[in-house]
Amino acid sequence: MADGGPGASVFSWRGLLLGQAGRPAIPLPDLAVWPGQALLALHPDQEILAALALLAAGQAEPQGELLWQGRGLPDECDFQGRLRFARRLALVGPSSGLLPNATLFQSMCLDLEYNQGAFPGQAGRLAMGCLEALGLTALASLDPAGLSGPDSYAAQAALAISRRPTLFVLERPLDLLGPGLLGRVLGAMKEKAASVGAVLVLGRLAAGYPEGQFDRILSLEAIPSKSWRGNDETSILNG
Amino acid sequence: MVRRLMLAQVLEIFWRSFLLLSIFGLMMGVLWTVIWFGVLENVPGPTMLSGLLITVHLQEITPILATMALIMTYGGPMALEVSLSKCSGEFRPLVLMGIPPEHVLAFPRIIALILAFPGLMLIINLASMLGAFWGITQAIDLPLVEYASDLFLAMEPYMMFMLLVKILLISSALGFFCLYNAFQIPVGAFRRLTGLTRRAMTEAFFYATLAGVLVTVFYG
Repeated sequence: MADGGPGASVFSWRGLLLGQAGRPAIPLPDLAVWPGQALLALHPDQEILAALALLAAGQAEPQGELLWQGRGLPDECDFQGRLRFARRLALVGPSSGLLPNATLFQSMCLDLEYNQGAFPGQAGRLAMGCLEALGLTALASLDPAGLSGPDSYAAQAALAISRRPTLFVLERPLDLLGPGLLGRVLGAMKEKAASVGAVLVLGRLAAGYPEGQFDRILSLEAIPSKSWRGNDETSILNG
Repeated sequence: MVRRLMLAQVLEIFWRSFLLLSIFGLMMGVLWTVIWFGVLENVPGPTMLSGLLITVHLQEITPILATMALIMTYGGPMALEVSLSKCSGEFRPLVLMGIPPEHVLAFPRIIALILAFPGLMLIINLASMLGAFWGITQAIDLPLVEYASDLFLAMEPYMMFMLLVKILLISSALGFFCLYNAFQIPVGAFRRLTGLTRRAMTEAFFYATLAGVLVTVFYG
C-alpha cells in the first residue's frame, strides 16, 4: 500500500454495494479512517460485522470505492502486490486464524524474520518482549489448534501487534477479550500505528470498551440487520 | 521456523527411507552376484564384479531405485500432506501475513531433499556392496579388504562427479515436481487430492529419471 498522497485516509469506502446471491444489494454508509485514528464502528449483527471485516482486510471486492491509503486493491493476478498489501494489514477476528503447525512464538518470529528483516535471535527477543508487554507469555508455546476462542483471539492480536501493519482491523474484540487485556491490546495497537496507521474496531455495542480508546464512534445501524448471511469472501459478490 | 522445518524434513526423509533403501540395496547386491556367477559367467565383458557394481549399479541402478523408494516413502505422502493443507485453507494465514506459502512450505522441503539424497545414496550403495560381498562369499573365498580395494580401484573421479551431478538434479526434480503439483490444488477441491498426488508421484519419477539419464548421456 504505497501512500496515495498527502491527506489520504488509511482506509475508506464510499458508495459500496454489498451483493449476495439471492438477496438485494445492501448500500453501506461511507466510512473513512484517518492516520493516527482509532475508530469504533458499531452494528448489532455479527454476520454483517464479519463481512465488513473482510472488506476492510481486502478479502472481498464489492461494487464501489474501497481504498487503502488512497489506492485500491492490487489486481488479483498480481500475487506479489497482494502479498505486499497483506503485510500492511492485520485482521484479528474469528474468521482469520493462526498458522497451523506453528506456535504463536514461531509465527511471530517468522514474520519478524521474513517481513521485517530481523535476525533469528533478535526476532525471538522482540517476540517475547511483545508477549510480555501484553501479558500473554503463557500462550507463546501452545499448539494453536488447542487454544480456546479467547486465547486464539488474544494470540492473533499479539501476532498482529508484532507485525506492525498500517491498519489493524479487529472484529468483535469485546466478545472474546477481557477489558484489561483489550485495553492493553488497543493501547499497543495505537502505539504501533502511531501517526501513520490506524485502528478499526468492528463491534456490536459501545458499552464495555475502555474509556478514551477511540477517537470516533460510528454507528452503521443504517445497514438492515439480518440482511446478510455468510462470512467468507466468496459470499460477497459484485453488487 | 523455516530452518526447523528443513532439518525436521531431512530427519524425516532418512527415517522413512532408511529401511526400504537398505533392503533394496542388499537385494540388488545379492542379485548382481547371482547374475555374475550365473548368467554372465560365460559372457565376455568386465572381468571383475566390482567394476560392474561401480559402473552400472552405482551410477545407473541405485539412483533410480533411490528415487522410487523416496517417492514412495516421502515424496508422495509429502505431496498429499501439502495439497491437503492447501485444500483445507491452511495456507490462508500465511497469505494474510504477506508471506508466500512456497517460501515457507516448499523451498525448505526441496532443500531438505537435496541435502538428504547423498546420504540416502550412500545407504543404498553400502547395502548393495555388502549384499554383493555376501553373495560373492557364498561362491568363492574373497577377503573383505581385497573386495573393498577392488571397488575403490574401479572408481574413477569423473564417475563420482557425474554421480554428484546426478544426485543434485534428481533430488531437485523430485522435490520440485512433487511440490509443484501439490500446490496446484484449489482450495476446497478435496476430490482432486488422489489424482493430484498420483500425478505428483508420476511426474517426479519421470523427470528425476530423465535427469539421471541425461547426465549419463552428457557425461558418458
